[in-house]
Amino acid sequence: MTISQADHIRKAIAERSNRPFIVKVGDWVRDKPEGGIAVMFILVQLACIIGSLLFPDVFRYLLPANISVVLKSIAVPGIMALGVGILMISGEFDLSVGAQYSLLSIICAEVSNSFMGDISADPASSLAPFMGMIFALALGVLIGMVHAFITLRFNIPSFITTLGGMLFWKGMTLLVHGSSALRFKPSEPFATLFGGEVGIVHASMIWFILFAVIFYFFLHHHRIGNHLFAVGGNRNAAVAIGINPVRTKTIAFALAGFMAAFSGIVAATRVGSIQPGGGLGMELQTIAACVIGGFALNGGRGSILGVVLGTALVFTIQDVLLLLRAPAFYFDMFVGGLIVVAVVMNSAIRRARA
Amino acid sequence: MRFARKLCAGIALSMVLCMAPGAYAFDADHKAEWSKINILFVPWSQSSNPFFEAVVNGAKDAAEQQGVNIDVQFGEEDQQHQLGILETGIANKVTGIAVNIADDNAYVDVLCNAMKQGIPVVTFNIDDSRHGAPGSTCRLAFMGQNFVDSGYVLGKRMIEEHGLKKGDVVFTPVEAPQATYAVQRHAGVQKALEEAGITSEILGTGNDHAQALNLMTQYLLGHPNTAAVIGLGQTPTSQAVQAIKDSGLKIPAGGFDISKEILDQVASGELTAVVDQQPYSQGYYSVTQLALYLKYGLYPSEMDTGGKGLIDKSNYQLAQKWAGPVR
Repeated sequence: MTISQADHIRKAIAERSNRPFIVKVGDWVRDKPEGGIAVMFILVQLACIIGSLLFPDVFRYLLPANISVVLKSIAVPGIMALGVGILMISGEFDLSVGAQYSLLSIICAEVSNSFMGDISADPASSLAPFMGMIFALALGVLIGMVHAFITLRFNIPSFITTLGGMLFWKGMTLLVHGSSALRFKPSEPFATLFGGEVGIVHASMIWFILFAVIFYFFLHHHRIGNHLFAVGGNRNAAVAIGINPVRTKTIAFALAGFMAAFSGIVAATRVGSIQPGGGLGMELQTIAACVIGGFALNGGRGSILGVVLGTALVFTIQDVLLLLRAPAFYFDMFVGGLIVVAVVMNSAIRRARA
Repeated sequence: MRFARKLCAGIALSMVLCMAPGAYAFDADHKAEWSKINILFVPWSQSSNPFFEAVVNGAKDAAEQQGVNIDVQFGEEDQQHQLGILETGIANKVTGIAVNIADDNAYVDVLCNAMKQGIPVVTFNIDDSRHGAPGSTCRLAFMGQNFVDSGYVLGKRMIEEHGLKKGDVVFTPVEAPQATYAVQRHAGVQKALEEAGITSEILGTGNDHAQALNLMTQYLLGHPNTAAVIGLGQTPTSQAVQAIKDSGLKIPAGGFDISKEILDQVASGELTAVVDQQPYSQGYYSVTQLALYLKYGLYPSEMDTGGKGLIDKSNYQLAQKWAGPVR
């Protein structure tokens, strides 16, 4: 590099650093996959807060009970969506996360209950729920690795592998437990760690934030994160620069399984029972949340902030509609419509800035 | 007089003792013949639906007692899938069919064709709403609860016990608002409410407990004037008490279907009353009646399982003991 070229680059960097704040924000909105949705999210929140302050009796958005339930409704699918999002960045899907959510929470509860982990057992074991959880999380990782092996070894679309997986793990849930609801009221300290509350913030939300921070550093500030973007964006180019796509994608599949198990266990701890058919449909909800958050369906694009904002926006929309007394009978129609509007506006905002 | 009673009792006892080995021998003579009876048992629901665990237990117990074979295949709440199972079964010449009719029009051709071929059909849990009238789905008899009648009884109970009045709004969440069971249960509840000038609103909750709890809580926060909650299915009924607590309201709740969790809440008085449609009976009697028809030509009878009885704080104990495998 010649001196004049270096000066030119230094000058460009200096100019970029000295941009006015508003220009920096505008560039961020344009450049980042989650830029448009961040703008939408802020606008929706501002509208909700102003609406709630103006009409506190009619629109009870700022009521602590409402904030609490919104956070709870975001947290569980959000935890699952973090794993799903990482996998989508690597260019793959996992349609079985909803089935794993049920199966692995049931396995956790079965292991815990059989080792006296129920709060009403005498004496109740404080370790049993943790044993159940570790076992279920390990199984989640294993299931993810099996999906990765089948997908990559036989070179078939993960859509097909995990579609089969969805049906297989759904059937396995019935084989393991049958179809009746399973009680899961774990002993302390497990119950407080995963089902307690700090003020109006449920433990599930704290875990979601914690995982989001960990995944942020993993995805955006770690070598493997770069590898995930590389194999998802252009697999051949990634291989050419020495990245092992099989290893990278296997890690992504394993994380999706781990997070599906974790979200199932947290949800079960909260409600105290597990429905074997629960969780089905969450795979599409979480993929939708990621797409709303700016993820590309064919991989290589996405961010952790996008997952958080996408999930938060979907469940804020749901909450607002119920608070505004949208006709409950066909309420899904509004949620579906607004999800599509959100993605369209995300694209429009980003295009307008380009 | 006392002697006459003893004589009658003695004769009756002798008859039972004489008949018992005879009946056993009668069964044994035809064991091989009856073991060729293959009954196709097709619930409409998803295989993970806990309600049908007791239904299937009843069906399997009946098949074992009658010495016939049973093949249980779930429709997975998909009519095309369920019709495929039925058509395959008819092509394979099953001896009898027990099925849920989730749609008045979808099953007419397939099941009338089965009956024409001499395959008897009974329905359980959900029937064609025209109940065997000309042009409706062909079947010999229905074994299940009259959802409209039981919904009406539950609605009346909630009104009388909690003084619900004209202008009140009752929240009626259900897993799948479009399903026949939801429509009929809501119709029954609504009939009772309408008589008192009360309205209701349905919300679809899905099957997942956590998501159902969130949705129901959010609804109640947005509708703080709701007077009561009546869950039209097991999932919303099981989450009604917690949703009311989380939304900071103090309103009564009741619902349909039972589970251990629901019965605990009935026992504590948090749920006023729940409707039990006695799923075990539905499976047991549909297979038993089909077997008796195929063996002896005994015509299946209509049966209202569960009747109009409610489970409440006064009678929950036995239901609690057998919740899951039987109730």
